Amino acid sequence: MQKAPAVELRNVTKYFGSVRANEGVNLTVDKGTIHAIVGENGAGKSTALKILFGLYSPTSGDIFLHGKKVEWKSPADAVNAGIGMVHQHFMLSQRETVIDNILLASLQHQSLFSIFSVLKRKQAKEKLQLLANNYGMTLPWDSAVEDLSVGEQQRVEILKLLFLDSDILILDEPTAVLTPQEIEELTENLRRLKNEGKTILVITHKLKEVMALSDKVTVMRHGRVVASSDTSNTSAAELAAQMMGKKVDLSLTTERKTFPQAETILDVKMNSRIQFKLKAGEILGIAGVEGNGQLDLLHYLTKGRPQGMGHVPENRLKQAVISDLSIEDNFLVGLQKSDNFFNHGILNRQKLNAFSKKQIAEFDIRPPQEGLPLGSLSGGNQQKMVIARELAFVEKTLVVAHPTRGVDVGAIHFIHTKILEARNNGVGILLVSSELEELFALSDRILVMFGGAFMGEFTRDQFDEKAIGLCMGGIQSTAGAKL
Amino acid sequence: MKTYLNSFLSHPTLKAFANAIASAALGLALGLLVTFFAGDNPWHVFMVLFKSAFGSSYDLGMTLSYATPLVFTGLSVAIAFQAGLFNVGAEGQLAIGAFAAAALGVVFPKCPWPLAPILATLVAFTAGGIWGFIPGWLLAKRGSHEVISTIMLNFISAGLVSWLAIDVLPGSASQNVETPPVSDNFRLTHLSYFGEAPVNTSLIIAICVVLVLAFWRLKTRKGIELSWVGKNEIAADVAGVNVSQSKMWAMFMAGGLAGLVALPEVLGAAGKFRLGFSPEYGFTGIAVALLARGNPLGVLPAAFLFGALHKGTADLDFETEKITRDISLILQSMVILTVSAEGLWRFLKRKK
Repeated sequence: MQKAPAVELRNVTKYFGSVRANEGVNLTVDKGTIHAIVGENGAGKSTALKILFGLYSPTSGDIFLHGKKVEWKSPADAVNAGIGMVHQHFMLSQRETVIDNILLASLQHQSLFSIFSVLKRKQAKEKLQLLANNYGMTLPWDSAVEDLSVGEQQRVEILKLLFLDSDILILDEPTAVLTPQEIEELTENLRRLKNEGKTILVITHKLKEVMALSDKVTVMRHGRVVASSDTSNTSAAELAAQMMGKKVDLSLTTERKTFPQAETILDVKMNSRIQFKLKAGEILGIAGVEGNGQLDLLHYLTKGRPQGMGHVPENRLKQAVISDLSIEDNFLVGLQKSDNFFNHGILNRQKLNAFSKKQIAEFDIRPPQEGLPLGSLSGGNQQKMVIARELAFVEKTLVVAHPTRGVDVGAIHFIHTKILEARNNGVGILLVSSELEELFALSDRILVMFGGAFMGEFTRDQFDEKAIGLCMGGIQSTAGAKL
Repeated sequence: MKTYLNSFLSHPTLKAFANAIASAALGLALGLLVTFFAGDNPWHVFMVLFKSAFGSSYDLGMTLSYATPLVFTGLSVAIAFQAGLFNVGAEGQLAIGAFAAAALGVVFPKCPWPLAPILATLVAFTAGGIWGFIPGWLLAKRGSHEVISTIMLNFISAGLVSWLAIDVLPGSASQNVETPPVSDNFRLTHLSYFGEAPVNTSLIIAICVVLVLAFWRLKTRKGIELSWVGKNEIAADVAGVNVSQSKMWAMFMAGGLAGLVALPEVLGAAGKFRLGFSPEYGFTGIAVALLARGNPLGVLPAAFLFGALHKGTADLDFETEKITRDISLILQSMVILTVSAEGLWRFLKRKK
C-alpha cells in the first residue's frame, strides 16, 4: 500500500465575492519533501496555502492531511494538526525577546494560567535549546527581536513552528527579504529539516531557488494549477514559460545608447571614504552585502528629496507609499512640491487622476481600478506603481534601491527595461542592489561597498561574479581597479 | 440618471458617511435599550429626547448653541489626528483663547465694530495656538509625548486663567470669578430666528471654518502633506515633508481652533470670560473627532449629534420617572462604540 501524502488539496475553489482566487486546485505533497509553489503575483498561491492553514475557508473542495479529510474552523485547528506557517511579513513582537516571542506563540494554544508558570518557562527554554541544537539554528535568546537581522528573525519564526511541533511548514516568499548569504543558510536549514522528516511548502517566484531547493514544484497561473512535476525533470526556463503562459525571453533587448561626452551630474563627497561621480546616461551599480553603509549613502543622497531627483527607496511599504491612500493619491507622494499637479497651490484632481490612469496603463498596474487603496495591491504592483511615479518626472538623477525585491519575473523584466530606457534618455542612475544578476544586467559601472567604504570599481567589461563576490566580502581583487 | 445616482451613492466618502450615520443610529438604539432595563419605555425616552432637542426653534437653538463650541474643539482634535497626534489639551487651549479675547475686549473697549471681533478672533486663535504650540514644540525638539504634555498644560492653563481672572482682570459686580464684560463692539450678532436661545453668527463662522479646513486638507500642499504625516510618517519624510515641523504647526492649529471657542462664549452669549464656563467642551471634542473619524467635514454632524444629546437629555429629569440626564453619557459612549465597531465589522467582512 502506498503511503498517504502529507497534504492533499482536492478540487479547492475559492471566491472572494465575485473574484476567483482559486479554481479546482489539486495539490499533493509527499511527506519529507520540499515542495515549491511558483506563480506570478496574484496567481493564487498564497490563497491556496492560506486555505490549507485555515486562514480562509474554501468555497468548495476538500483538504486531506495524511489521508484523512479535515476541516478547519480557524488556523488554531491547523496548528494543532501540525501545520505551521511563516508569513511574508513576520508576525513578531519587535520589543520582546526571542524567547518571549516563541513562548507567546505557544501560549495561544495553552491555558491562560501557564503564563504564570515559571517552571513551564524553564522547561520551554530547555526544549527550545534542544531543538535549536538539533537543527543548528541557535539564536541570541534574550535579545529583543528588533535588534536581530532579517535572517535571524526568520529563524525565530521557523523555531516557533518547530516549538509547536509542526511537521508541515509553509513558508510564504521566505527569500524575498534575505541577502544571498542568508538565503544560503535558509536553504541549508530547510534541507536539514527535510532530512528530519518535516514536510515543507515554499511559495516563491524565484526560479533559481526553486531549482536549487525543491524536490517537487507546482506551477500556478490565474488561480489554477497548470503544471506539477519533479524539479529534476524541469528547468527554470520551462517553469517561467508555464508561469506566464507563454514563451518568454527574459534577457534585456533594449540597446545601450552610448554617451561619449556625458557631463557629470552628481559629484558626491560624502566623507573621505565615499566619493564618486555620476555621469548623465550612466547606471552606477552599488554592490555589497546589506548593512555595509548603503543605507547611509542612500539617506545622504535623498535627504529632503532634492528637486528633479527620482527616488525608489529600499523599503516600499514603509518608505515609498501610504497604503491607506488610493493609487491616485499615492502618485502624488513625493511629487507634491512641483507645480505639475497644482494650480496656484490648489490641487488639480483631474490632472492627477489622468496622470495616474496613464501610468497605470503604461506600467500595467493591476487591478486597473480607480480609487482602490494602494495597500490592496500585490507587492509587485505596488513596486510598479512606485517606479511609474519616480520615472515620470525624473530630470537628471534617479536613485534606486532594490527595485525588484519581492517582484515577479515578468515585472522584473519590465522594470529593468524601464530603468534602461531612462538611462538612454540621459538620466544618471544610482542603483543599489544586493542581487548581482540585477547589477550585471543594468550597470555600466559597479562600485562595491564594504564596511562603509568602496572596496573596488568594475567597468562593464570587468564584471565577474567571483571577483565582485570576493570584494563584497572585503577582499580586494586584481580584476577591478583598486580604490 | 440612475447610473449617475448609483455612482454617486457608491462614492467612498458618501458611503463612509452613510455607514457612520447607520452605526450612530444603532448606538443610540442600544443606548436607549438601557432605559428599558432601568424600567422605562425607550420609545418614550426617545420622544422626550427628540422633542427637547428639536421641538421648537428655541430648542433647536439651544442644541446649536451647545454644538458650536464642539465644532471648534472637535476640529482641534481632528486636525491633530490628521498629523497622527492626540490633542488632549483642547480644554486648556480654549480657556487661554477665551481669556485672551476677553482681555482684548476689556482693555480696548473703544475698538470699532467690524475690527473688534476680527481682532478678538485673531487673538483667541493665536493665544490658543501658542498653548497648543508648546507641546508641539516639545515634541519636535525633545520628543516629549504630546498626550502627556497637553494633559499637563491643561492644569497649568486652569491655574493661569484663575489667577488672571481673580487678580489681574477681575470683574467687579459679581461673586463669580469672571472678567468685566467686553464692550458691545466686540459682540457677535444674535440670530433672532432661534428666539432667546444664545445662537449667534459664531455658528456660521464655525461652518465656514469646517469648509475651509476640509478644502485645505484635500486640496492644498500643506494640508495633503499633513495627512501623509498622520498616515505614514516615514513615507512622508522620504517624500520631502518636514515631519517635525508639520507636527508642530498642526499642534498650533489645533490649539488655535480650540481657542476659537471664545467666539460663541466671550464674543457671544456671555460677553465675558467666566471661569469654568466650559462643560468640558475640550474633552467632548475628542469624542466628536473620534465620531468624525478625524475628518473635518464629519465634525459638523458629530458636533450636532452631541449638541442634541446634551440638550435633549436635559429634560429627562422631569419628563421621565427613572431616567436622569446622565443617560447622555451612556448614549455618547454607545455611539462612539458602534461607530468604531463599524470599522471592526468591515475588517471582519474583508477577512471572510
